[in-house]
Amino acid sequence: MTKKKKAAGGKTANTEVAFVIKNLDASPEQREHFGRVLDRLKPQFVAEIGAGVGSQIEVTVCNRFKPPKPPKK
Amino acid sequence: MRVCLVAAPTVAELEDGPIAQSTDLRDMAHDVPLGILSLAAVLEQNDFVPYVIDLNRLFSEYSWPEQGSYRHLDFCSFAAARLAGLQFDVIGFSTMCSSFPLTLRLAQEIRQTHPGASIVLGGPQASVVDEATLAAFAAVDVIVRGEAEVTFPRLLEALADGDDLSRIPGITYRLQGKIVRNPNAPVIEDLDSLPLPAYHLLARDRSLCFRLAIEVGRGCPFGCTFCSTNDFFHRRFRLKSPARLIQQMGFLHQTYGTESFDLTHDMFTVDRKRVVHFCEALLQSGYKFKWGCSARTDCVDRDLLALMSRAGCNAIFFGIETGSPRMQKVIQKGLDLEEAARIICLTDQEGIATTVSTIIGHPEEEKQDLALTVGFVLDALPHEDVNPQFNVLAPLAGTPLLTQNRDRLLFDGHYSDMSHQGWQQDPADRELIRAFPEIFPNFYGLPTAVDRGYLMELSRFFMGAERRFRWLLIALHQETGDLLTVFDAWRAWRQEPANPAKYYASIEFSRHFQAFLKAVYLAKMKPASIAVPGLLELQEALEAESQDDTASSGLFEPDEVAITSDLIPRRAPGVHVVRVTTDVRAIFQALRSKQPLQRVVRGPRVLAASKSDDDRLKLMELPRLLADTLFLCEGQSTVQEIVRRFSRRHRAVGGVPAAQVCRLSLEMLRKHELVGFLRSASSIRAAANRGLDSLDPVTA
Repeated sequence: MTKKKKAAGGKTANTEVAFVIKNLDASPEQREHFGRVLDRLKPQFVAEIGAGVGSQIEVTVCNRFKPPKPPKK
Repeated sequence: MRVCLVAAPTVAELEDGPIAQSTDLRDMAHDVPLGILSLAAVLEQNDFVPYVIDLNRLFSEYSWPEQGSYRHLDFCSFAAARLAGLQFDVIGFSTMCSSFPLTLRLAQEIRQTHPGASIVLGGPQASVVDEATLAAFAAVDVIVRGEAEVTFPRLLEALADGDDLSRIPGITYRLQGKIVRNPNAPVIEDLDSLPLPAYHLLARDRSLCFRLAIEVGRGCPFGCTFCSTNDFFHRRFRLKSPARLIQQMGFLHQTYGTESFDLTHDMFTVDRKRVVHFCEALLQSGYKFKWGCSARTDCVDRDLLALMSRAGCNAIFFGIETGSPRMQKVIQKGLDLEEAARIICLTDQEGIATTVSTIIGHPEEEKQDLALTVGFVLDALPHEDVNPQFNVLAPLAGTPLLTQNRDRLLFDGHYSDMSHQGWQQDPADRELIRAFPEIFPNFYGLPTAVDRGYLMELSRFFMGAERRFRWLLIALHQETGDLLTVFDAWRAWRQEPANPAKYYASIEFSRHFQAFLKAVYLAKMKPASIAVPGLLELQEALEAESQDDTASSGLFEPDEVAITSDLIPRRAPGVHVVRVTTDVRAIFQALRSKQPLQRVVRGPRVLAASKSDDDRLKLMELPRLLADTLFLCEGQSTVQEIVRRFSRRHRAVGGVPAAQVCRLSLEMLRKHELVGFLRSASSIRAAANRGLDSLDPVTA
């Protein structure tokens, strides 16, 4: 199940577009136009693919009893 | 009386500097040694002034590449030289299985440099091999068994006064050439009575204190056959009170700025009511701490997980141990595996990361049990915040497992990662291990139905592969229903590596495995595969792009600075942009929902992978307009030039002119930290002339 925070649309997406628009110096009318364009510019989350892609050496330590490093999202 | 306390190293034998600096090892080196610090705090209450040495940090210092001058010494000699410069009457070593040979060699060195000092061992390993250790190592004077906060101060007073040791419970010592074992000391029932561990003695760098370990309780009431902590804590489950815990967390927050805690307890969630009280108290306190803990999947439920999440829990360690129902009974773990899978899923839905830890290599384990364990972990992996562990069994001292198999120990050169975390076992350690199996059983193996070399390689293969191409593993598992068939084919195809541990950690493994997938898996095993070719293409593109990663961390303008025409956008460091020819997002979605993929749309796609703070790569598909803008951000052209080029190639979108679309794209790229903005030399000069405030923002 995909988590809310990673959802491609809905609340997250609107927040993302609103964030960008907030940074712009634009009239309310322009903002509406920009909002529609920004919707088409949003990157789509695909997956988290681990840390080691491409690195020369990846050392993994299995540490019993230690909670995992939490995600920072 | 001068007392020195030495915390056992958990990182050992990694003599290669750059590896010692890898994220996992640095994290371990910076973990606080709670046992030693708890003891030190009690000593301070008793008017002692203990000096604390943390061998993990010393090892980190030793391994630092610029400290090449140390390399003429092995670590034991290096640490002994450091200890030789200290003055003390008593030195106390905490001990654990993986570094016990090193600890004993250090004790022998100390005996030479401090002949008059009393050498005392404590902690989980020495506690359970006390008599054998004293018999074999004359350098050791006393062993404190079990919890030491009451026993150790009494021992120090007796040593200072030259008193008889026979009335101190919980110690084993030498008297007139004989070994005397006093009765056990009682466990400490009221953990609230213990002071806060003496974190201050490590003079911690405040920047390392964002996340700290804090002890929340002791003792696990369960009786898993492989586990040694039952013996140490006498299976007496205890928790500190919520009020005490929150007071201590608050103190650490105020003193060191700590925001995040590892709540240390073998089994935090045994007593549901007390966990609920803790969570509610934490919520009422107003603190917004984050925390992680250990739990069994049968000791949490949906409501409890939701409450824990609200109270700041963001990470849980689940020891699943085996995916085989039969083996669950054999090892007396007794988990319902369907329920365990459901709890992992619920935990993920609450936004809590999980470690799903397994142990392979039990004597009774058959290959079909192994396949079930591999399958269980792979079924959990589509949850992105699941971190798998594949440990090979180590017969720990003091466990029912060892008691049942004491006469069957094998010294065959295969070390469990529980016992040995490096790539080379020190020859001096090997000699000790070979000579004293009763003291170092964790370095031995037990006869298994599945070849132990196979198990070791599987563990390394799995952990290396998960780190580099997790989703390929998931795809192979879902397509075949049994990853071991792929692993077996891989073993038949690959050349046997000279150093398997090093090989499976290296990029060569990834390249060879990709070649294997093309030559064997796709050619013979699953020619109709849809997911694997798409993921392979992505993997190759990402690895090629990683090699070509020349982006440097230039000084980007802060995000709040408006994007002006004269700024120079550049791809952020660590961002990889690749082109593929398949709809890989559909592949990931299918794998996540565990639905077989019937077909996949082909067509060009642009994907960006960016590294987050916790070192993971987040993969995003970029819409064409955004991708086009990103490709223009090569770090040489100004915003104005990029907008001009973009406008020549694109028309208006939805009535918005192309130039403005480009600027919106730049904003979006910055929002996702794919691009940063540099100030050009000319703009710096112009700003100096005009004053920064007069720079015109680019308005869309």
